[in-house]
Amino acid sequence: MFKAKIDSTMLRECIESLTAIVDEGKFRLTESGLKLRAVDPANVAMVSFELQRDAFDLFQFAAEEASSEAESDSKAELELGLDFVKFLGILGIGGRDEIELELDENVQKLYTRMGSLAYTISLLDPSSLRKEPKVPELEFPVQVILETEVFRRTIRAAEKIGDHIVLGVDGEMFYMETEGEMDKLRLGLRKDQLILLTPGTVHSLYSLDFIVAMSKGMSHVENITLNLGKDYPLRLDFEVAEGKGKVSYLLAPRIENE
Amino acid sequence: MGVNIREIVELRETNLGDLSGKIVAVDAYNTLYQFLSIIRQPDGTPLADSSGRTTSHLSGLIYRTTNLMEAGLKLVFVFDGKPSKLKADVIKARSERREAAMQKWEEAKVLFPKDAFKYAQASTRIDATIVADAKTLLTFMGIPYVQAPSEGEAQAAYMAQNGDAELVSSQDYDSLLFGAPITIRNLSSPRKKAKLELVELKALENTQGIIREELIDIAILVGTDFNEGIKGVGVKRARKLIKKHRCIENILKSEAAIDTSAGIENYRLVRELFLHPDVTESYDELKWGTPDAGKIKELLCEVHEFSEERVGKALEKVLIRERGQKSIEQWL
Repeated sequence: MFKAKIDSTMLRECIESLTAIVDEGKFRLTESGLKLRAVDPANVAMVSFELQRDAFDLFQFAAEEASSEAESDSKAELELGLDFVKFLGILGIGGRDEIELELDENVQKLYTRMGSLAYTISLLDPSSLRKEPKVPELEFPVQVILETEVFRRTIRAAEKIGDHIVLGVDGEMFYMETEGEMDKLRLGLRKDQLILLTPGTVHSLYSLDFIVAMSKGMSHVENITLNLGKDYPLRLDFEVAEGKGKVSYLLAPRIENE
Repeated sequence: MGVNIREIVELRETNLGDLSGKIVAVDAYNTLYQFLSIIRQPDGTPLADSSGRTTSHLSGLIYRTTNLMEAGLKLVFVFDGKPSKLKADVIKARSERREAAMQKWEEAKVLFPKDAFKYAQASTRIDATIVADAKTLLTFMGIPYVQAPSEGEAQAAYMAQNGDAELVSSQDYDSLLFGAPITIRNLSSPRKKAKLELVELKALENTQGIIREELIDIAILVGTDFNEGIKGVGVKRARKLIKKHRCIENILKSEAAIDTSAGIENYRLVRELFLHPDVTESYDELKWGTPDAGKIKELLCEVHEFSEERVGKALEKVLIRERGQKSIEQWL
């Protein structure tokens, strides 16, 4: 049993953070809220998402009683397979009202209501979706916290120039650098222009396609945390739903072979 | 086409992501047939360039196959050779059906546009040009192919048994009869949401106690591409008979109602064909290359007028690895 109410703008921002990486996926529903971990089809980027129950105005959850003894040790958890792109469209037509959600496990439908609009969503069969990926154990030597808008603006400019971008830290300076066939762009921010910076010397190259997609998933976020290494994956963390939700993107680097 | 034993096989759903890194032997004719029958305009006309050359198969190959490559699957296409003599009747019947459908389609286009697509699909045929086009495009895409001496599915199944492929991709269930350990259905479906189904020979044995030889006999009773089957015997009845008697010989001895005159005259030949099909052991070592974007664009965009942007995007997904893009898995 799952029944909930949540601000639809808040939910939309959460779903937008997912569609930056995947079109569809499965939420794990538990007493403490919603969780999801998914990778893009090419295994280049991963999203980890968590939304606490107190982000909801109403949150009722009870896992199905174990139907047989063999399943009695199964966790108190439900899987909810969802086409996020479609869901985003539905949230778009519903306007800014609060959204009510109710899951019917037996017929695998999610009933939604926004104001006077009712929309029944057929869920995706969880077994037809990818298994939840493992999380790599990573250690990042360097961390940078900056205003999202600065990052997004730079990405928007970089996108017009090339197809890859270097993110790095040189001493007490964080930089983003793109070089295309014609033009070159470099953003350098000193420690005092950032919210936080651990000094170091690292840099990695990333595909702009993915970073552009990610930057679209965090359009309403104030600050982002970048975790960086040398020729190493990027972990980009931020909070959603007024701090009651967490999103973490992981992106594998490009390594130039000479 | 093929044997209809869906009702008794064990299907297991899977998804693209879990197939990453797997080598898949693709029944090429079956796949091209799907592309040609499904990728059509609303009135049933296949996609074509301005000179009237059909391009549905090329569209399927470039867009669907790059999706599979992006997900990390390693494909090898297996093309049919000469059909078995036993198939002559089926081939004749099919070609008559196609002719009839072609006529109905022409009529329907004018009179019953709603039915046009259906008839158009039924009129699908694969000719030498289509096969040659497909082979050229595969070569440009860096995907290996194998020419089977006879049935492509048989060759694919042999390669899977041989350990050169992990899965056989086909919509038919014949590959099971040919001994493919695992068959995957809907892999080449251009319909994005078609569920991927795995059919394991071993699962059938474990859950129903039916081994491959028995499955072949069940198929023969029901009817295959090589024999008609017994009228009125469906797959469930056939399974019952085989479970009771284990083979057709025993059924003939003990079931008075069934004799060889009724569509299973050649059962020994058909069984032999499934058990020991005409396959070649001497195919080249399978090698996957880098897609040649220039040649692909020349063929598709310049010759056949595909959208440069869409082809570019499809190739981008595959070529991203070539430019040093790493996968998250490398840090697991």
